[in-house]
Amino acid sequence: MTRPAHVPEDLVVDFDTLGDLKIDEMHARARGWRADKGSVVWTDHNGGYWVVLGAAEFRRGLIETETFNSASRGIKLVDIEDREVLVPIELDGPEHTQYRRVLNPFFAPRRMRVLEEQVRKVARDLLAGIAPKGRCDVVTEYARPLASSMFLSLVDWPLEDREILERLVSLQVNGMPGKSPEENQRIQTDALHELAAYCERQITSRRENPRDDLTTQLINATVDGEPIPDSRLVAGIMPTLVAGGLDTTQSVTSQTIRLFAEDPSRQDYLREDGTRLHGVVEEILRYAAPVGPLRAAIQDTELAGVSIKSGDRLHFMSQLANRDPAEFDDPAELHLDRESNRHLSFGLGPHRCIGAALGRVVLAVAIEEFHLAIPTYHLVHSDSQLGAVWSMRSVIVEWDPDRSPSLTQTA
Amino acid sequence: MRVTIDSTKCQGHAVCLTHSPETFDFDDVAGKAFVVVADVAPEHEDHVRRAEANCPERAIEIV
Repeated sequence: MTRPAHVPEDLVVDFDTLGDLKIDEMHARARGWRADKGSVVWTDHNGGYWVVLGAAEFRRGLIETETFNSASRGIKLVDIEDREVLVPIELDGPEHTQYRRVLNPFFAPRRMRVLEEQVRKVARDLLAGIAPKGRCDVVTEYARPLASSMFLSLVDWPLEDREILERLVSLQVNGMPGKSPEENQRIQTDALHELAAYCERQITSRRENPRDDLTTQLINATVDGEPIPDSRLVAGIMPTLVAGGLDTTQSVTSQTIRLFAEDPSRQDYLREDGTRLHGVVEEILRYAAPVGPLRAAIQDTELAGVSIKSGDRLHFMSQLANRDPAEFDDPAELHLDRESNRHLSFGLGPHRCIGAALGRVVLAVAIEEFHLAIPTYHLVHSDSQLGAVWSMRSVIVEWDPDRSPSLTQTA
Repeated sequence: MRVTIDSTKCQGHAVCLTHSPETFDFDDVAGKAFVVVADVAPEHEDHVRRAEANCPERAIEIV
């Protein structure tokens, strides 16, 4: 594509989020951009957009919705033509508020306390199979099945469909790394259609046999006194919830175990005092944020002294804003005892991640149960990828299955 | 110590509920936190300070 004329040459960086960059390499690069170019840079890749690295700019971008919105150009880096609006993330204003009010109760903090027991049970079942082996791939054997099972419990879809949904979400969110933008458009379109068809089957089954679950309640919900159209349910709301719930939580859990395996003193820190878990979760969320929101400017403005024109897209990268030295002391280091931690991993403003409380619960239980079941472990191999959701491809760890783990449990 | 939440800023991250469940509660439909006990007991002041220091939206004010 042609770069817009108002983009200064010296702010352009070489960044293809669908390329073969690893998470650590990306952070090293971003440190260089921040030092050399500032808080807002431009990439020509994937349609061309501003990459926002600064925490102050992030705050402004997500709270000033009259300048930066979600609806006008959508939130997908590689877009698909002729698709349903993703709901609620691609709505703004009063319509957005109405959909949030329908969805909010399912994700309310007090409901998470009930779900916590379910997460714990799934985690323990998985770990009972893993612990005696002395080795596992955390991504495929623990983090992914745990995150997916939680989401499937929330919507009450069959647990045995887990792998089908994981594949579709991965394709729909990230496409296939290494493919051309045109190929990825087709891959993502096909995956979204297949996902919508799956959701439609769930809706049909609930119409025939209503149950006390989120799926049935969404069918019965009204917005402006009207039921939500089926097309919006199956291709707008449900794919958004699936995509939000599966890849993100899985990524942060996998990144945690990798960080702890690289430096077992981090395992010791948690094992010494289980009440540290809450602070550990928040610091991990800061350090290992997997995703950041995309917006479009709807009027001309300036951001960190950079001229932004109406219609420009901006990627407000929580992953990078969380490492802004203006906001966080020693940001490139994981400080598990960090006290004040206003990380930006769940976004800010009206589009704050609706699953934040769920994400925190899954992560806390995932980390706690892993250390209750597995003794000191070491990293054998790990591999990561960027994309719309940064994630680990694999995290292989090893431990002595004859040793017993020790963790002072919370409460 | 007295504490308030600016409901125009609060977006329902619910971090405050974790730090001080004695002080804050949550409106499940609106998806926002609110103050239950505005006059903070001395033994809860530390909890409320931590809630304020960790509120992502800077919506909590201690007066």
